[in-house]
Amino acid sequence: MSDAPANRSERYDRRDPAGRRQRNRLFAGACVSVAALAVCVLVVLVASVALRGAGRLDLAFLTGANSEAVAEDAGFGPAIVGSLCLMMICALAAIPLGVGTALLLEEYAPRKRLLRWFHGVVQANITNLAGVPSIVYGILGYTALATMFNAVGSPDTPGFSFGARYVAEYRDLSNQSVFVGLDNAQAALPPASAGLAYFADADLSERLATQVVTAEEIDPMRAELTGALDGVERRFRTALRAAQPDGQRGPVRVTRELAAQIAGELFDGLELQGDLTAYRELAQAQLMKMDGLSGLDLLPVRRALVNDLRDMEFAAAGARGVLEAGAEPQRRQVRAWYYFQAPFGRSVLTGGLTLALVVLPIVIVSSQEAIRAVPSSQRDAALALGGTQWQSIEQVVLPTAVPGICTGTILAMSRAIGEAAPILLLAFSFIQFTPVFREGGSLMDAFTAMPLQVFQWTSNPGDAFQSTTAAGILVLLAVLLSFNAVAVFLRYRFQGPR
Amino acid sequence: MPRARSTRLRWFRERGILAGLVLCGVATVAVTGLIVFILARETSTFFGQALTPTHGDPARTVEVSLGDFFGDLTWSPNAPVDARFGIWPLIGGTLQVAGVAMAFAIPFGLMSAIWLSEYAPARVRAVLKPVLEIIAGVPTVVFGFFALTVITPALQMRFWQVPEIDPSTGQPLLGADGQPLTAPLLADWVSGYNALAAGLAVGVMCLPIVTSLTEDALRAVPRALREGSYGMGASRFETATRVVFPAALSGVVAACLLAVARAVGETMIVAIAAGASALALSDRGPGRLLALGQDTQTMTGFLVQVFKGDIAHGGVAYQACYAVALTLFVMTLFLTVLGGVIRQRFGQRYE
Repeated sequence: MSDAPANRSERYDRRDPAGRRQRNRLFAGACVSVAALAVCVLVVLVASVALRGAGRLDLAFLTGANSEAVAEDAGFGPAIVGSLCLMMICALAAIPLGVGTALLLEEYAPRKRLLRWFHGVVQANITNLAGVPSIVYGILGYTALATMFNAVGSPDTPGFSFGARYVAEYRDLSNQSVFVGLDNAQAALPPASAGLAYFADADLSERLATQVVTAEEIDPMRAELTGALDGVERRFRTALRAAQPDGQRGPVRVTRELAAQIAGELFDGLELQGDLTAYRELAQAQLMKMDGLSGLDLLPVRRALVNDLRDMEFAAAGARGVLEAGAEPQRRQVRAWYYFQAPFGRSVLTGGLTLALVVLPIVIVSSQEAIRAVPSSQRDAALALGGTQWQSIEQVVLPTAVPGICTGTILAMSRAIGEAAPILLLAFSFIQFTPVFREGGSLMDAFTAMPLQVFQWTSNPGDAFQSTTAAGILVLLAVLLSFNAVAVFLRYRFQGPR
Repeated sequence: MPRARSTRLRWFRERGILAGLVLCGVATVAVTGLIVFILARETSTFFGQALTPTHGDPARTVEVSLGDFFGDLTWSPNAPVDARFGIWPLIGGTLQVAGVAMAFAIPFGLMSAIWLSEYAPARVRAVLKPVLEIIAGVPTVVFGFFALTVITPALQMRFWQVPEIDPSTGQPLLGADGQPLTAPLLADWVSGYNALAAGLAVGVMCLPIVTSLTEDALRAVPRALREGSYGMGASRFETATRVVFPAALSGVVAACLLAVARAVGETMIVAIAAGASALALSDRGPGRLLALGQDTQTMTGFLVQVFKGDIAHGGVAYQACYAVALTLFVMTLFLTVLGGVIRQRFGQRYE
């Protein structure tokens, strides 16, 4: 301190050495207690969480699905799987982008003016990105990835998708859903009577056991169906009587015209759903069989017709949906595991990419440091041997820098796994299923994540969820600690203690 | 010929790789561009438009002007009638939390950094640095839970229960089972959700940032300066506070500004522990800022309230969150840029 005033150093000289030593010791003591405070805070934090949560930590908690209402039933399974999926996507996106940017900034020294300006902009931008509140990234992810500015359709009706089949879903009376394949999302849903044909064709329809109609709902439906069929039989009788000449009990001439007429009238005014043409054709065919039969012999044929109709109605009801309840077939999407759509929606993919953006500055900065730590003599040697820029990077710089890059990246991932704010807008904390790893699961699944689930439990009023929350935090901390342990191990293994 | 082809191939490969890396760089810049674009676009649809209110009659649309946003002292986006959108209560809440956090993190962080860099034996450092790293890596929801279940009860002195007194009769209040009701000793001063506990938790979260960045700055000061100071007969304390610390001041200030930016942008802790009612600045004025024991709402807290679905999408409150987010973004950007400028302008480079 050359510019310090002279009288100030004179004052120093006059100070008593004992007092100076004491001040020094006092300050050191204060500093030690402050540093110890940091350790104490960590201990108290872990202890308070462990005491509350250890009791809840069992296999059922680790694998079970969340419960909104009952704290004792709430499980962490979907959240754990969701977080791991997010991590994978986050790493796959953030590492190439981050390391690439770091290489550009460190290895390609710009010579042209424009490039130098670009370098400066990128470097300054990274510093700024690191300071952006993570919840703002959530807004970015929602607008730019989940909805894509609504430029290519909406998340529910994506402008671009592949890996999805569409089916029409009917519900039959035995509580099962019946799926009929459709050509594409825009294909018209086959009406109930057309569903009949599909229903009979086992290749086209695919039965999946899904609980759709309850037993209580079935009985009234069956009664209604019987009533409708009684109506058909009554009309059939009347129609035949009308066809016979008055008082005559001889053989009946059933012409094609007569059969068509009776069949046409048969279903008028009946509240049967769907396309009646199929019913009419069936009735006409049955009526033609009666040609020349005597009145007495009509009975078995009539019974056959009614039975046929009943079967048909049952089948149609099965294929069509809830009988007489006005339920239309539903269009459903069956997704393959590689399903992809263009507005990503609020999906695992969106969440992972958003987290990648959040940790990108960390990955870049730590990669930059690792690359910078490679001695430039090695680089020069590679170039002097006639290697190109990329060859020197690929064969000299990267192999040396990889441990450092890994350490930084793992630390970045551990930051990402604990972030709740950016995915708040993207996740569904109430989902019960395990995202991605389930039948029909894909990267477009809705998801929840560990920190988010913890947040949702914390915001439950009262203390009921406290031990559940604490157990969730324990799992989260355990995952984080293992991440950190790997990072520390890598650092010591390859760099030696710093 | 194969030689020439391989050279040309190499040239193309080099170009292609450089182009790929430049694309990576462009992508990082595009992220900032997109953030600004999205926030600006959505904010422009908030001001001066007739928007449906969050609650109440949808026909009575609300219109907010820029003047209201920065001139009003009331923040009541959910009010069915006369919803008000003055940003100051949210900024006030943010200042409360960040203020408490910095009052905790800056002195303690600076002291532990000085100790780590100037005093601590290498072995203690080797233990403390990872501990700090672990604290820095603890998810913020955990700190929020910590604030809610440990710090707040401690501030209320919940271990010291006192009987509740009916203010009108002066008699102790009885519960349903006939037992007298009790409340924590300081429950009147510190409510269940409060700015103080949230601020302290944010401070704990910021402590490792301040410590490790400050320590980096202190260690960047060359040994020669210290040795010169010791050679003049100065004690460690004098060397640390009068030589090393001033020499590293720009880095220290930048570290503190970064910590402030983190505290301002901190989300989950305040969402969990600070409550969800914006300050009533218009009633009691700026003095309300000092009621740290009462619940409050920060800018980020409001965003969480909207995003987690407490407020219906599409209404005026939902649009308001973009304006709030833009304000937040500008504040943190200002802090980061300021930190960068200070480090560049006033940072001394030692060779």
